[in-house]
Amino acid sequence: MNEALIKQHIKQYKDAILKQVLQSTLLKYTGAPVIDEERLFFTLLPLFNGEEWEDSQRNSAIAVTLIFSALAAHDLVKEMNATTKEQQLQVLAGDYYSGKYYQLLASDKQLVLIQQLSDGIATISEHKTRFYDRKLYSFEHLIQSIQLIESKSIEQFFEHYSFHEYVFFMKESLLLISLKKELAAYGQGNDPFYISKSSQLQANINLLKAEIKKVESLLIDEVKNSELLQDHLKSIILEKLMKCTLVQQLREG
Amino acid sequence: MDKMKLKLLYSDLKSDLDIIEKELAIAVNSSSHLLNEASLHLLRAGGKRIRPVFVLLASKFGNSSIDSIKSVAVSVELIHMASLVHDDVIDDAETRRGRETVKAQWNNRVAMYTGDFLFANAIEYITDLQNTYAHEVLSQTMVELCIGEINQIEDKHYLDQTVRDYLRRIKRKTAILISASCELGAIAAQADEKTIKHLNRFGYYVGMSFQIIDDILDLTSTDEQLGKPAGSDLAQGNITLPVLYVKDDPAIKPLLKEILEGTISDVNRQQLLTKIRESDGIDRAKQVSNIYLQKALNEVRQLPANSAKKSLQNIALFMSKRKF
Repeated sequence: MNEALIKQHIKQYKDAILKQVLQSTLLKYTGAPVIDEERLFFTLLPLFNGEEWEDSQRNSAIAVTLIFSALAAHDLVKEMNATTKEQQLQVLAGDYYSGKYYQLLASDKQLVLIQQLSDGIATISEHKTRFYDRKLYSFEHLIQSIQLIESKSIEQFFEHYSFHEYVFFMKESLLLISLKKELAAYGQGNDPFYISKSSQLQANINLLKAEIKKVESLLIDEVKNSELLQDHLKSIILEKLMKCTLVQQLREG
Repeated sequence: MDKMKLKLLYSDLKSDLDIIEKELAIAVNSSSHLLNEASLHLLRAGGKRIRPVFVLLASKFGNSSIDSIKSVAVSVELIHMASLVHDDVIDDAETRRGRETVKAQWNNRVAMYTGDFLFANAIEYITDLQNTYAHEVLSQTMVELCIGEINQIEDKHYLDQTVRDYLRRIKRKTAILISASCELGAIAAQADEKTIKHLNRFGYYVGMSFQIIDDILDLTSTDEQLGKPAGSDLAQGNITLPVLYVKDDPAIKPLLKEILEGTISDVNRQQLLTKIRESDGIDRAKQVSNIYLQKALNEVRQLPANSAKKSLQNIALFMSKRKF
């Protein structure tokens, strides 16, 4: 699948997701749900690589994206004083998207996937609270948590449909993109989600940079040498990973 | 609501409820130290467990065994608990049932994740029930619950809303989860279709009657009985049925404006409550609640005879006739 077609698919999926959760009050006060295009790209990776993709995969991919939209809505609720109408509705937006993912899969009679994904959401919530826990987690544990938070539901979706070989590329890419975004935002003096909540990460920025390099070099090698990924898809993935590096380098001057 | 009296009403279910209570403790158990603390904090606050009771009673109209029903009962209670944790963020509530809320003890974000954890566990639990229709019912319920809450925020401070708006809102906010609890209990016990429909409607009518009474009590109870200032719903901008009936009364209108604008003094708040209590708004709202109660009882009458039938009747009467 060429790049133009991939872009078209991503747009179609975004439109389908927005249609699923269209709710006038939420749209007015909280805006459209957060849909991370990079994550959506990696959710659809098997499709872009030419795997058989039927309605059930399509619906499940939409449901997985809705899960991330739901979780992202709750990440936008302020820690204190969430008293404005927008903030109150942000709470409900997350619950509403969550209900919609369940409804979509229930109508598709996907009980096993519902069970797996709900277990995954519980685990993601557990790992998110690590960033608020008084207990000190090691650097390695926090990186594992970030990876899990960023990709768990997609991993379950891939495993459910036996797209096992794609899990590595998806997980490592999303971890890399997320860590790079965090580091870039932190470097700009912003409060990125993970670093701003963890003194452990703040104290180990150099370790974080080394981790990024390690994941990046491993991933680039694996993508280049992959017998699974089609050549045009390899180029798109590499471009995505390099673009991310370039943006970061530009930000860092 | 008098928890002791209610517990006496369903004393026959005690052993089943004990099993559910233990299962709830397992369900909220987490590998995260913080989530564990927050969830146990919620569990220890207790609650009436009215939704699991409805699941259990409804299941008596089919081939029920506690093993096949408990996951449904746990699931609906977890959904209720999760909604409360998120509601406390929306309402900026510091206490609930006399205990600090999760958002007050930790912060809003921890409350969000605790609620998400509970919602996810609720769904995971009910996947034990291999009935796709049941999942359509529950997922629809979860979506409707949210729409009810969204409508409530939308309708806040809006005095031109109609009685119909109010009824539609409380249907989604309260009645639908009670209705789903009854329906899911019956589905899990493989009751016949006609019985499932009666139980679904029974739950809906009881839920409507219950919420109207709850709204009346917010205006007629004392601060001590409520454990919060009477008229809190109004102070938060929520216009309930008794108020809708009297909002144009010249003696009430200016005070209503004050409370909705948040400028009312305590003396005027008491005066407003007295005027509402003296008006016919309370009686008219009680009549509407009673219509729903009678409809609920009518549904029970059409159920097959068994011991749960009497319990459903008694609980409906208790919930709709309670004094505080």
